[in-house]
Amino acid sequence: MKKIKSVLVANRGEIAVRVIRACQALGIAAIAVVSEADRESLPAKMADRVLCIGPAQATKSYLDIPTVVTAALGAGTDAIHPGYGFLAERPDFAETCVKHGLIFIGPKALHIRQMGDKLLAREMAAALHIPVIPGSCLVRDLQEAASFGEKTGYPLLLKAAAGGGGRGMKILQGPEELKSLFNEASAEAGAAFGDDRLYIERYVPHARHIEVQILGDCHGNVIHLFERDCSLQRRYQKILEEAPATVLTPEQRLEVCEAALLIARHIRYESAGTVEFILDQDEGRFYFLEMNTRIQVEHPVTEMITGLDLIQEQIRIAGGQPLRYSQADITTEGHAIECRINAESPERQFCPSPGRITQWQPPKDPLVRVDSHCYEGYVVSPFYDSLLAKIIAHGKDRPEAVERMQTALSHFLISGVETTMPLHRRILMDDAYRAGKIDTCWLEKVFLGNAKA
Amino acid sequence: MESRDISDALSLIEWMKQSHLNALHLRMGSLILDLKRYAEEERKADMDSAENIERQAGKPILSPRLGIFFRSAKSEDRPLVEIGQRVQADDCVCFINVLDQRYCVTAGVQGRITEYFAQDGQLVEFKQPIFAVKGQESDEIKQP
Repeated sequence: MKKIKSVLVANRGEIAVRVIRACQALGIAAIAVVSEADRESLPAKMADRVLCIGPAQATKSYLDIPTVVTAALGAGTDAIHPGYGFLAERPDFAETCVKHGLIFIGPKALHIRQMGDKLLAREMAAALHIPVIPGSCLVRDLQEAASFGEKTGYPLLLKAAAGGGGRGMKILQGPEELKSLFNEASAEAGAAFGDDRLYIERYVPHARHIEVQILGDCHGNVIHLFERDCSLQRRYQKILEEAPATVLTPEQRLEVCEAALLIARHIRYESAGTVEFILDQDEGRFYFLEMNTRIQVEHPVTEMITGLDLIQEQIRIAGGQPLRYSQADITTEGHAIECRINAESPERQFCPSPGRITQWQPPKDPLVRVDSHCYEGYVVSPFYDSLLAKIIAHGKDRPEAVERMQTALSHFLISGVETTMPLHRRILMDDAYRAGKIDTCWLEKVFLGNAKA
Repeated sequence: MESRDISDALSLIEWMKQSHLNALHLRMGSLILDLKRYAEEERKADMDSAENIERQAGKPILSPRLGIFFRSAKSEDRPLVEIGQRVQADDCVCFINVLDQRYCVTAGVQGRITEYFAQDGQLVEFKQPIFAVKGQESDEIKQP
């Protein structure tokens, strides 16, 4: 395997900055590719070389595989880091990189494909005796869904076989909702993923979203970096994440981490990945949800408690190096919380708020990390997702991390665009949140539901 | 302009390539010859500014995509256009290769090619100036 001397960062925003920093720390040259709208972005200013790959529309720039690969070849880079989103989980992208002699900093195309088909992934987990949510099966039509409902009872969850991110996902409270929601879900899935197949499963009402960070190398070594709790969600989008998950008993932690390792070992997974589970809080049981074959937005909370740099490890692994840590080397210290600050107006149904940032003063606390691509004068583009910054606070325990995050949020001065910071401040003050008495529906149904009334 | 003048001009260009001169300004009757040697840095700096090009060499033709620039379909072929050549808006002036796809770049404007800014096999970016074209009105080279 050749040594990686330069990396093309096939992404934008905070994750592009994050990857460039990791490259700089390793003494590797970073090449940024930008759309026309991102010529003045921080990744463009930080990178050793910048290439404009196309217009603002992502389909003609960040999502254009031949163009991104040509940029890497033309610039003479050794490897491509896809970040998250955009091309990160496109097996054809990983394949095209490899076909042209470039190292794809991520898993093998085969792993992306295996885990990208959510139904196949569930079948694999079940075959490994990892619990999957009862029922999970493909439903061809309304009639099949109805007979499944009669057999198992309601509530039920309809999901797109091809996708994630909540698109094509519907909760069915009773058979009377089946007809309209089945058609809606099917149409949504078809529009979002070009695949309208749906599967149906029992809906777990008081669920926690628990996910396990995995690292694997090409020598067959796989380790876990413990778990994160990402239960605070709005429309299936994570808002605030924590590590460790304080809701777990030591036995449950062991169980869920072992299950994640089992899957990763089974496919001989390489690079960073995340195995997601649903914890049924009423029954104290875990169910496999899916595996994400990329670095995730919320990876910094794991870095804060383990001390590892996941992007640097991804680059080392892609360069063929064996993992530098054994499982016994991985320990955690304290608690970390991440708040995703979006340019959105919580007062106006989270409507995007693009515009010029007139003031940008991040908090200065050595135990608070801010991952962002923003600066004073930066124009938040309406073309892309609205993530402005991730604030990550560490504490010796959860209450200390919560307090530190509160202080950080109150010291973070942003003007020019509306942000979700006020929402985060309110969440952190909430008694139910502080007591950890929440589930994946709490934010939307209880917290925001109450706020509206 | 007679063919003798053209061959004289071409040999002057060849001569200048061998010499250490950076610039040459010459007037022979109706023929005005302005030659400038670009250091790699200068060439790049000049490329950066489409406005600069428009002022000096004419309207720039911008690359419609990122890719590998070629002035001809095959390396042994003559370039599709040469400096001084007249082009119509829909004339193909070069190729941009993106992996296995080859795209023809049309001039987009009518006029005379005054300059090219990329070499065969070079990576060009989206909207990078690759040629300059001067329209008839501002054509400084007088027809006989």
